[in-house]
Amino acid sequence: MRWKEIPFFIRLPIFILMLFLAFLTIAPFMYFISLSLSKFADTYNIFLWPTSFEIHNYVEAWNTVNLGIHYRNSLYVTFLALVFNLSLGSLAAYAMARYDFPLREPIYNFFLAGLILSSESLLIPLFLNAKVFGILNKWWTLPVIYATLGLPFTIFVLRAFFETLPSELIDAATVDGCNAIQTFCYVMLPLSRSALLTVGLFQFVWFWDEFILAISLVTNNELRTLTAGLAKLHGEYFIDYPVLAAALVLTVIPVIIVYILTQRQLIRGMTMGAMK
Amino acid sequence: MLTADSLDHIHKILSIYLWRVSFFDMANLFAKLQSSKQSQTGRTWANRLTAFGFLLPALTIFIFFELFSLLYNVYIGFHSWKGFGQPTFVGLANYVDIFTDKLFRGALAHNLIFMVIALVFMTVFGLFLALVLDSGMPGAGIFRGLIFLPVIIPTVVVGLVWTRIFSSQGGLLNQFLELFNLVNLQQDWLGNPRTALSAVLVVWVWRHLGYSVIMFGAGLLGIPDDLKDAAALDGASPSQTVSKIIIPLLRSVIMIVAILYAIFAFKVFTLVFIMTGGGPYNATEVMNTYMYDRVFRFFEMGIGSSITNLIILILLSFAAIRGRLKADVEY
Repeated sequence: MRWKEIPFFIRLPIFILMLFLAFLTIAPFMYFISLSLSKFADTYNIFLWPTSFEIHNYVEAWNTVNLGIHYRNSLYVTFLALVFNLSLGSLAAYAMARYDFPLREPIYNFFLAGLILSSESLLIPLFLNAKVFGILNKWWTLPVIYATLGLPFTIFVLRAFFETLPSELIDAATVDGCNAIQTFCYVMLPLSRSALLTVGLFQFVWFWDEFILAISLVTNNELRTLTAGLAKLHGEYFIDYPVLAAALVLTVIPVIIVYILTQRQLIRGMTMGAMK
Repeated sequence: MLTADSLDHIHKILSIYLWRVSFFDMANLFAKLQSSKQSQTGRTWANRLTAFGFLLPALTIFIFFELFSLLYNVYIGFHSWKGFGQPTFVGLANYVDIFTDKLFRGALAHNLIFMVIALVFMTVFGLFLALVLDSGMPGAGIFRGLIFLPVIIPTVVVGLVWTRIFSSQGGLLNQFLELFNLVNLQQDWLGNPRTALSAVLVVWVWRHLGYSVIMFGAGLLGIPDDLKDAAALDGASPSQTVSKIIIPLLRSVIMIVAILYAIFAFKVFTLVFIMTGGGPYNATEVMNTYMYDRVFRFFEMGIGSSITNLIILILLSFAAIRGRLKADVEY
């Protein structure tokens, strides 16, 4: 079906519907940006555009409600989880793609089965064992657990990718005197940049978004990530909406920047990993 | 009009196309099998040891945090436990308990409502949007980028933003109603048990619609243009092209999208937790928020675990259907 072949009286309502949908998608963003720039007194009659330009809401959000700390924690947790996830995941995927060893397929399927487990399904055992194993309120708790929960998808995509790379590369590297680790680091990893990016973007969005474990396994406010910090902010204090709005805008900014820079790769990663 | 002749023509093209696809798939598969056979390094002990070394770190944390947690969850599901002291074995009592609880059945029903909305609205409307975008509408690229934007926004942010929009104190929705002189429709959307669930559903659809549009879009790209043109040349109307050619060709993608959303529907937690916490009067309670309540407010670990196990079982059955589909579609 070509757009131009559709009769005009059908085309027009469809186009209007699409414009309306686009408006529905953007309106919440516009509303919160204008709210974040408005005076506290105007909170209850803010519309889609700002009536004033109160940039100090952002400063206040950053300093007085500890957003700076949560921000730092989120960046740190996400970064560390990505490093753990991609390094361990790519090593395991490479082993299963390039080596033959007993129980290889059962182990692979065992990893894949983890695709259906989400953070909600592991909340209770992790929370209960957190006390026993002493992983409550530790700086490495969230990165390690996020990395683990992300392993099945990383291994699934990277194994399939490693299998497409020609084996001559390994042979050549071996002839040139590379050992297994050197082959992996200097030959395989540089070649799989695009696959790593696809996986990494999906994991990034997911790590930045994760909430239930972040709020349950970390109770120390100094270690809370953004999502947990925002929920707490919303729940416990008198709500200064412009400041809250500024905090939300700041939270979304990294994701939007990444989305704009890597739209195609990010969408591919998100749809591939949608089962998670 | 679509005559028997032209239908025949379309079928011929269709079968050639399908044959071609399956042929290429077979060829690819063979190539893959061969190359993976060749590419394996030899089965020496040194190689096995290297592979095991590569695998070990991932396998260790995976067993420790996932397998162990899962088994532990199954175990607690059969016990009554407050989180301290010794768990007492109660058999299936936890499962009996939740299924005799009206609140839990209500929560399950709400999950099912999410699923029905997903199956009907997300697939039908998603396919419609994908078709419109695929037709070469002006600005399709921008729109495609926009419709996917909510998918990447953290759920907590989405929940807080829409809570404010639905608020009775100067919320955006009520302001719009005032703008259009519909003041008598104004209300506390999330505080009213009759509207709360619909409000949450609207936000859920807003957040997740992008997936189906993008996935159907990918499916449509896989259908060659000459096929659609041939149908049009033979006099098929747009609706006939869609129902006789596009939908049959997209059957696998439609199934995958449907299952994907069914899975999403049983994982709902954060959005409800942030927007309503399951209230007002349990009008928006879903299984996960109910579970969270029983665990963190009443410290009934056994009950919580049994609910989680139930959800995992449901997801597992969806995943099994999805796994069988994977065999005949690749995109």
